[in-house]
Amino acid sequence: MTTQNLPVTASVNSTAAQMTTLHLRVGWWSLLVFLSLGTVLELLHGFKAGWYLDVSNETRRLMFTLAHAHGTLLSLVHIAFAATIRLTANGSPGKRRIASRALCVSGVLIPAGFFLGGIQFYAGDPGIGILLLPAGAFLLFVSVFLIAMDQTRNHQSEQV
Amino acid sequence: MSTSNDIREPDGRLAAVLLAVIAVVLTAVAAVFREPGQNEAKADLAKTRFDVPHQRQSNEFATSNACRSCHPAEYSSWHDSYHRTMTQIATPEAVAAPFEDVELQDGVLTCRLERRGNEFWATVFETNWKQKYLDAGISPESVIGTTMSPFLTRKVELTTGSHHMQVYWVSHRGQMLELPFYYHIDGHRWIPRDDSVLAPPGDHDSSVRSSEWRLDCIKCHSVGGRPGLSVRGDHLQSTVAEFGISCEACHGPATEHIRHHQNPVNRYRRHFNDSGDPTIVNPARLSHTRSTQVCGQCHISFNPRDNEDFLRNGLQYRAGDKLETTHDVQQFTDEDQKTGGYTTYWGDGTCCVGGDEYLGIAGTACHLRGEMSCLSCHSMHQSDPNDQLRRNMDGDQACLQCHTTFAEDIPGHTHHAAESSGSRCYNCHMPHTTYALFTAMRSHRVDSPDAGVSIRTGRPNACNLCHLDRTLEWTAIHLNRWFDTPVVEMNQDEKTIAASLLWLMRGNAIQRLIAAWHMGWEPAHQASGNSWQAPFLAQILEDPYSMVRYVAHQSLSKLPGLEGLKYDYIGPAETRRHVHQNVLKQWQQQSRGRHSAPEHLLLTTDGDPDRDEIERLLQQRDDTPMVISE
Repeated sequence: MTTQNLPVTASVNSTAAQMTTLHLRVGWWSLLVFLSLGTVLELLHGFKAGWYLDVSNETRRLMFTLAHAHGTLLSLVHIAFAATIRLTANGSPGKRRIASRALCVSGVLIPAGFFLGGIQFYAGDPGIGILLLPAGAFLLFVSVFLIAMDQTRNHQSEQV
Repeated sequence: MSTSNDIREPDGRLAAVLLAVIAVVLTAVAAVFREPGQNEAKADLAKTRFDVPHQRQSNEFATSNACRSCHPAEYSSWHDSYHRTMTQIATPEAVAAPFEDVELQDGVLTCRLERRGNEFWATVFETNWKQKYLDAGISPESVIGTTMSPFLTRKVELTTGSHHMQVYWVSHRGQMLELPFYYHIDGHRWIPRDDSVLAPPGDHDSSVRSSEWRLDCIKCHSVGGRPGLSVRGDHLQSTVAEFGISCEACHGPATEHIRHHQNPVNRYRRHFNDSGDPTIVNPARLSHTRSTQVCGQCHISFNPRDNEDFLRNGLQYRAGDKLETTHDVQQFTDEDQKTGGYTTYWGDGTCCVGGDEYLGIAGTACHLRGEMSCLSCHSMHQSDPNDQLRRNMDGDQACLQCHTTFAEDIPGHTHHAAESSGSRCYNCHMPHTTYALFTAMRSHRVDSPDAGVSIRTGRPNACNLCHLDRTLEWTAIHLNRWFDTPVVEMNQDEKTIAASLLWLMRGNAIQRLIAAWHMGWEPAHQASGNSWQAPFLAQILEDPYSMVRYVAHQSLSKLPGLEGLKYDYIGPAETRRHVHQNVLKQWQQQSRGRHSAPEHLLLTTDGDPDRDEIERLLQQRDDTPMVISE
C-alpha cells in the first residue's frame, strides 16, 4: 500500500507546489497591478479629472473604485489560497484544482466586469461589461466553497 | 478518541453564531434602507399642525430622492437650480436672512425677529399699539400676556425664494401668511413687502400682494400640492409631495416609472432603445406646444379652471397634459384695451410681468408658425442656474439655430456693425420690457421693433431703448427705410423729444422703470453716451414708486463719477430730495455740455436740464396704479 501510494503522494505534492507557486505569483503580480490602478485613481482625484469625478460620471467612479477594491482583495485571496495549500497538505487535489482555476478566472472577470462597466455606462447603470461580474462572482463562490469544504474535511480527517 | 458528535458540536455553534451575525447585519441594513412605513407616516402626521402644509408620501409622486440613483447628473443640475429651493422648510440651511435680534419697521408695523436654536421666530405688532390702547382707555401694560395682547409671535415655517429675494411664512389664525418684510438677498437687507415689488406708494392694503401660501403658492411652488379643503369646507389640511419645483413637476409622476425600472432587464432594454419611455414624460420629446406648456403651467398668471376640485385635490395638471384643461389663463382682454391696458399688459396684450413668459412665447410667430419652445433656448439641466439658458444660447446662436440664412450676412440684416450690440438678435427682438425681481427682464414675445407699436401700446421699442437719445420719429424713419415698417402719425413731443425721456418723465410706472433701467445698460451707453442721463435719473430718485426709485439709483451708480452713490430708495423723502439735488450739482460740475446732440434731451442751450419742459412732462405723468408683485 505504502509503496504503491508513494508516486501518487509525490505527484500530489508536486501539484500542490505548482499551485502554490502559481497563486503566489498571480497574487503578488495582480496586487501590484491593482495597487497601480489605485494610484491612477488617486491621480485622477488629484487632477480633478472631470471624466472621473463629474457628477455625470458618478457611475464610472463607482465602477472603477469597485474594480480597484475587488482586484486588490482578490489578489490577497490568491496569496491566502497559496498559503492554505502550503499549510494543509491533505486536501483533495481535484477540488483544489477546480478551486484554483475558478479563483484565477474570477480574479480576472470580477475586476474586469467592474472596469468595463465603468468605461461605457448609462446614467446610473453600468455598461454591459458588467455582465462579466455575475460569472466571476459565481466562480469565486465556487472556489471559496470548495476551499472551505476542503478545509472542513481536512480538519475532520486530522481529528479522526 | 473523538466521536463524530464531538466534531459536529463546535461546527454547529459556529454556524449558529454566523447565522446570528448575518441576521443582525441584515436587520441593520434593512433598518437603514427601508422607506418610512405607514405607521411612521401616521405618527408624523399626528405631530404635524394642520395649518402648516407638510410633505406626505403619495402613491403618485415618488419625489426627487427616488430619481437620484439612476439620474445623478440630472439630479445634480436640478439640485443646483433655484427651482429646487423655491419653497423650503425654514431650516438654518434654507434661511438666507439674519434673524438674530433684528427689529424692522415700515411705519405701520414692527417686526421683531429672533433665532431660537434651529428655529426662526417673528413677533409682529402695530408700531403705535400703546397709543391705540390709551385712546381706547385701556392701560397698555394690562393687556400684555392676555388674549388682548397686540403681539403676535409666530414660528417661521416656510421660505419662498433663494435667488434674489426670500419671503417667510408663518401660521396665523389657520392661515399661512407671509411676514410683512422680505429679505433682499442681492442687497443684503430687509425690505418692507410693499417696497419689494412694483406697487403704488402707500398701498399697504393691496390684496394682490397678500398671499395665502396654501391657496396661492402651493399651485406652483411645490409638487403634488393639495390645499386639502375639508369635507365640511371649513378648514384646510394642506399637503405636498415635495416642497419646491422638483423632477416630477416637469416629468410627471414617477412612481410607475420607478416600479417598472426597478427591473434591470427593463432598464437595459430602455438603454438600447431610443424610442422614448412611456412610463415618464420627457419634455424634450413632447410637441413644441406641449413642451412649452410644461413650463407654462407656472410661468403664467392663471386661476384653476375647477376651483372646487383644486381646493380639495390640488391642480390636476400633469406634465404633457393640455394646459387649458386645468388652467384658466389670464389673458389681455378688450376691457383692458379700453382702459389702457396698463395693469400687467401692454396695450397689445404683451405681458409685462417677468416670470409670466408663457403668454409671450405662445404669442410669438416662431412658436405659432415654427417649432420654438422654451427648450429651444433653456434647459433645467446642464445650464447656468441664473437664467437656465442652454450652452451657447446666451447669444445669436439661439436664433441662428433656425434662422440660418441671417448668419451669412448679419450686418446686411441688422444695419449695424457685426460686432455691435445692435447686431445681437436678443437686443432687437427680445428687449427688456418686462419687470420682476428688482430689474427689467427680456420680453419673451419675440417680435421686431416698431415705433408705431410703442405709440399705440406704450410698449417701448428696442431701438429707443438702446438709442436713448433719439426720438420715436427717428426710429420710425430708420425702420421704414430699412424694413419698410409703416410710419405712423406722431405728436410734436414724439417727434422732438427722445423717447426714453418721454417714457421716463410722463410714462406709467413700468415705462419709467424700463427707461430708467436702460439708462444704466452698457449697450445703451455705447450707443447714446453716458454723460447726459444723470439729471433725469436723479429726478426719478423722487418717483412715487419705490421700485422705480430703486432701479433709477442702480442706473445712476453705473454712470461715470456716480459709482457708489449713497441713496436709500425707501429712506425719508427729504433725504431722497437731497440726493437728487446733490447728483444734479455734481453732474453740472462734471458733465454739463459734453453731449453732442442735446436737441432731443430736454437740455437748454447752456446744457442745463430744461426745468420747464421736465415739469410739463411730469404733469402729464401716467399715474394709473400698477402692481407687479413678482
